[in-house]
Amino acid sequence: MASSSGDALREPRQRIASIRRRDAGTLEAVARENIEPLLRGARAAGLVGDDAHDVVQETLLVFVEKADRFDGRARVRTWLFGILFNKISERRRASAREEAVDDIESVFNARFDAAGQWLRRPRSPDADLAAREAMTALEECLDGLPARRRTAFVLREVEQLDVQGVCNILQVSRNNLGVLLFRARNALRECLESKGIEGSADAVV
Amino acid sequence: MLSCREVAGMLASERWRDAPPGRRVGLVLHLAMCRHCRAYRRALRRLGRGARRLYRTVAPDPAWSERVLGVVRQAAEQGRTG
Repeated sequence: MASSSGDALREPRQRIASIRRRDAGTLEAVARENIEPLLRGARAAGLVGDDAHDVVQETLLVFVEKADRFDGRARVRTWLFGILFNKISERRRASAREEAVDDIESVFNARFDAAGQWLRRPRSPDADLAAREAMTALEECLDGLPARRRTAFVLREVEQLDVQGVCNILQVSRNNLGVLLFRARNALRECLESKGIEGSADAVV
Repeated sequence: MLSCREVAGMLASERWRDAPPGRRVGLVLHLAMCRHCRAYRRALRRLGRGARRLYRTVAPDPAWSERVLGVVRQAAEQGRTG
């Protein structure tokens, strides 16, 4: 289905009222519109198979249960993602897997000289990441990201939620979100380059 | 004058969105003059497009969706009368 008006930050007032009234038709429609994005979100957070499916169902049931408390300050999708990631972190607390220490900051810094000029220049890709091997590589690189970074990146780029919405969902400050996005994007770029995906000759000056 | 590292950092973190006007102008000027940073920005955009294309293939099994939506409908209707 076509995505609803991309950057509308709020839900239409009438719809908020129907949700709060717990109108069964509206609740079902909201669930229908969001079941696929939620599943993507669960995948982005690192859940697979039944775990991803179960957490989406739980999320939708919590939504129905708490619909009368929806305040309409954010879009209902943002609210749903908030529920989803709460559920996911509840699960994680049981099996806490720490994010691996990574060195993307130093890899990033090594690309510049002392004056902050590019030392190893970014490759200018020949084409979009369309070819099959490029997509496979991107998938592998995404899988290699720590879950929080991948989630931040996917909420921004795939679900195209606004920055504030992503902060609310992940419960991080704008600064922290910046760090997550910075690390995710640079790690992905470095990973793709290491797989030889980011195109060929960068004919620099 | 912003350095390439600062520009790349602002782009990747999207901190430019909160940057004061002077810094944003600096960013625009730098990008106008520096093709390496433009290449970097293009690469970031391609990452987004690639991820969108990739994640579009994550679609729930229709039978599962209908089952879940049935459960949701039931819960919604119960909530209303109960």
